[in-house]
Amino acid sequence: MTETGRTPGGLGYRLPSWGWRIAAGALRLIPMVLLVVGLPAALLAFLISHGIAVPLSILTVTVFGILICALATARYIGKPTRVYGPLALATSVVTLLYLRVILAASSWTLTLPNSDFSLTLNYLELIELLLLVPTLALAAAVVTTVEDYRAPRERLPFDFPP
Amino acid sequence: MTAAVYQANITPPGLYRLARALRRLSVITLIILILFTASVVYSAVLTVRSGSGVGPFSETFASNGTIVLSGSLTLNNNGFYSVQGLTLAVRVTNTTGSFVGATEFGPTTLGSSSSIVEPLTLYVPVSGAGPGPSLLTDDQSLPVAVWANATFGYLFPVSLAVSAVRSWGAPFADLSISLGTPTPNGTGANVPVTLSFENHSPVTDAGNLNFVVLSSGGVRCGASGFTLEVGPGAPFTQTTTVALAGGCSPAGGTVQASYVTPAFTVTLPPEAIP
Repeated sequence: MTETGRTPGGLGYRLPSWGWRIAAGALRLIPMVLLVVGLPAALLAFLISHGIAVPLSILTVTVFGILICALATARYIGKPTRVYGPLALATSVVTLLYLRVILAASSWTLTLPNSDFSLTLNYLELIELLLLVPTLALAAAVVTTVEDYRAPRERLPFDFPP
Repeated sequence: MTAAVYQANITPPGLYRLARALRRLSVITLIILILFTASVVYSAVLTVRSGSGVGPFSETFASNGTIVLSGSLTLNNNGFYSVQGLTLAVRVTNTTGSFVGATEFGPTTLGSSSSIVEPLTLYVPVSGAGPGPSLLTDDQSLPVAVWANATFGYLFPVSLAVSAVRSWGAPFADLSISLGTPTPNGTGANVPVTLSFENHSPVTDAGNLNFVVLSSGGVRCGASGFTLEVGPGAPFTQTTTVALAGGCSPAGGTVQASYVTPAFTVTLPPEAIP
């Protein structure tokens, strides 16, 4: 189930097998899809079914959500390999793009059908602050990519200690 | 076992530590933002449930030919974030969309766990041209538009727009001043003048209603008045006799009435004489 090894520096590591990583990645994918795709899409569908205009389409949320989940799972499975950095980078870039799309629609007017009430909510500053999250992750991915390029397997004893 | 203990004490490489610190910072930022947003939403719910509202309006006449609607806006904030930059604007039109009156207040800050009471005063001109004078004699449904702006939790500007229709009860509803048949009195003629209306407003019409009978050419034919003490919802019908000047015919003219109290004088819309 595991694969052990040593870095050129003599530090040991113990990698979970590909099968275990894929199984764990698939299990991790379930709550992630529910949280990133299912919940927002269901919320949008609920609002649309009640005649309330929404700032984002269900298609946008679904496409970006699936893309982010798929990349995050691939990143998790490929963590012991050199593709981890580029996959983490791709995840961060897609998340940044997703937030950029949300940023463009960061003012939402809630108008209740058959009523004379409307509420406009602006969440521009929240999205701008949220952009920090994938930006920091992007920086971490760049550093990891450089580290894997300069010294392959250097991080394995710390990510997968024996 | 020895190798594991030895390895655990080794400091990870600089790039690894940097990447790990950036990842942790990213996760911490996300958690803080999620917790903050959740707390703002919860606080907003508490604020909405705090029972803010507009109290009943009182209606008075002012000396400058306006009706003053005075009320108060009570704002409660049981949330734990202050509501900043709170502004409110109210605009009243008549059914045809003509501007009747407006009021606004703010910007102000409603602190957390606090309450403020702001006076709301709406001045409705009822003399002169425009839609105002008809408010004295016609019951109406007035569209009222309310706009409010505020910032919740420092990050979330919110705009609220509410439209409602308030019914307006005229203080001289269905005002009618009719002239009877003139009878000669030697130099001119006496004519019975009947005044009738209902007070649909919440205030008592107390004072005098003075009127002038004008000919079609605008010449003053005669004048008289009624003493009023008409409570809310009460009807009024009374007849008085006016002596018309000789040679002055009111046919085709108008009756111009004024509601006069020691505090103010309000000119009512002219009534045509058939």
